[in-house]
Amino acid sequence: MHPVIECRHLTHYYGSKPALCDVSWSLKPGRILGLLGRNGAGKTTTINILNSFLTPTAGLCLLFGEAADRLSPATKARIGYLIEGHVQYDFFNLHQIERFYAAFYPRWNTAIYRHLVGKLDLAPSQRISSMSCGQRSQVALALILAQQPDLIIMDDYSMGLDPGYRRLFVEVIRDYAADGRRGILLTSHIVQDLEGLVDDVVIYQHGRVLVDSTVAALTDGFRKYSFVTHDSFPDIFDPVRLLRLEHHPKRSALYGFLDLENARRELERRHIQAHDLRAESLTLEDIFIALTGKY
Amino acid sequence: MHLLVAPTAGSASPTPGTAPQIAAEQPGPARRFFRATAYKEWIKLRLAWTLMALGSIGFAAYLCLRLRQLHQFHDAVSVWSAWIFKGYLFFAPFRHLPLAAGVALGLLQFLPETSQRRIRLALHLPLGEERVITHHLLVGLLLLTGLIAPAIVLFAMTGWRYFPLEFQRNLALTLAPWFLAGYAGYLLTATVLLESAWRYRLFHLLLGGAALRLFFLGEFYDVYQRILPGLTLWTCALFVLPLLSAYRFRKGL
Repeated sequence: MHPVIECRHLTHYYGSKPALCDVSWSLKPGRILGLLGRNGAGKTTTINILNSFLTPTAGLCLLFGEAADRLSPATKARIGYLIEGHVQYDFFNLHQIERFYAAFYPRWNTAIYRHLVGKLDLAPSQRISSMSCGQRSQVALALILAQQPDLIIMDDYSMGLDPGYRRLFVEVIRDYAADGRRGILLTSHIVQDLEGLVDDVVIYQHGRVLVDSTVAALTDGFRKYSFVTHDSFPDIFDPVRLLRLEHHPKRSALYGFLDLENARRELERRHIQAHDLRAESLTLEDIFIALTGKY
Repeated sequence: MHLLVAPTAGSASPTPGTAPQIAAEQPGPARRFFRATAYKEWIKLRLAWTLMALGSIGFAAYLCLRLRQLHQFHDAVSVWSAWIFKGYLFFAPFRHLPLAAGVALGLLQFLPETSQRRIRLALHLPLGEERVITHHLLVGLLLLTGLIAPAIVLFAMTGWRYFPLEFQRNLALTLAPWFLAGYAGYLLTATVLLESAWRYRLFHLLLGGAALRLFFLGEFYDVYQRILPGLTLWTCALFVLPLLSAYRFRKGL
């Protein structure tokens, strides 16, 4: 079976500035993948290439086995796309926008649309332009889910949403993916929301894939060891070994795919005398920041 | 917590992982897609379009009434001689109105599509990108015809009522470039708005300005008689420009 999305050696330059450098990853059916990275890491460039709004300098993106820039209409009908900022046709009201989209999607399910929009407790004649950001986001989500796509691409779905709407998004996405046969790709700057939602994670840094892993493998294997030291050392990040060393006057920290013994050896190798070395639990957000840096 | 409802018995419930058979299951998708696009554009433009249509009809009717008044106060021969010897254009105040209508319609139709790069929604619809833009342009051209056609009918009826047959042909040839300028203005506005690169936008603006100038070179009857076919072909060829702009937008060029 084809991966839902497959990026092969994707490279893109804006002028002479590299945005993506030999990026490869895939999304398999039934998985929810979080594409993470700091601002400017290359997430939106990738999303634009996937949606054929950008031609990569080199490499290839396949969606259901078809090249992203030459998708057949039938394959396009299988892909739901949430644009950053929940952009929609805001001159429509709730009834009109459903009528418009239903004409294009053979799997259109009115019940799903009305169920989600019904939660807003708005009149069908309410124009989208007069809705709050959260309400608009829910309409955009309802429109996508009513298409019953096999792949949903959500670009920064949490942008501008309060915690209530963010929670709603997470629950709805989780429900939609529950049958285990659809693929969902999402990006978000609020990494804590993704914990418990995404199965896989791809983390970009400076246009390269830093991590491509299941969330379980990442949260089980990536550790933080804090320690007290009187030695002075510079902060270090090794992108090959995914190892970070941070100096702090109170408790310094070593991050990496290390068990306690290997952590101790790593510090000894660097001639750092560590006292009270102990492992600390990390959330996905902690791991993300440890890997990509605070600033 | 189940937020999604199961598909209802009457709704489509295909197996995920299989491509929907659009052509086989739904007869006439091309017509359905066009009607849906027309519906969207109508909802977007209906208020502005209605106001513009009223303005266009009102202004055309005013010019026709003015001609009628001329005929009432002067004899027909004086009016005709003003046409023949002085080259007086009875409908001259209307000459830039189709162009203004075309540009205004293009702005009203495509500004909402390009703000927040909303055109991505249309380009993501499950039909070819060129077809999406073609549908939008065809709807726009139809709406523009709806703005212009009543004025053409009014002028034709007035010409038929007050001028001899041979004058009417001259009138049609004189009015034709004004109306063609409306279509050219619409297509060039769409081109400029759909263009994502500023340098191309500037190029299209300059090209558009020069192209539109062609429609207003002469102020006499029959002046366009020879070049009218070429001007018509030129206007038809402009249809390609917004498609090229949309292509560049889609490819991120």
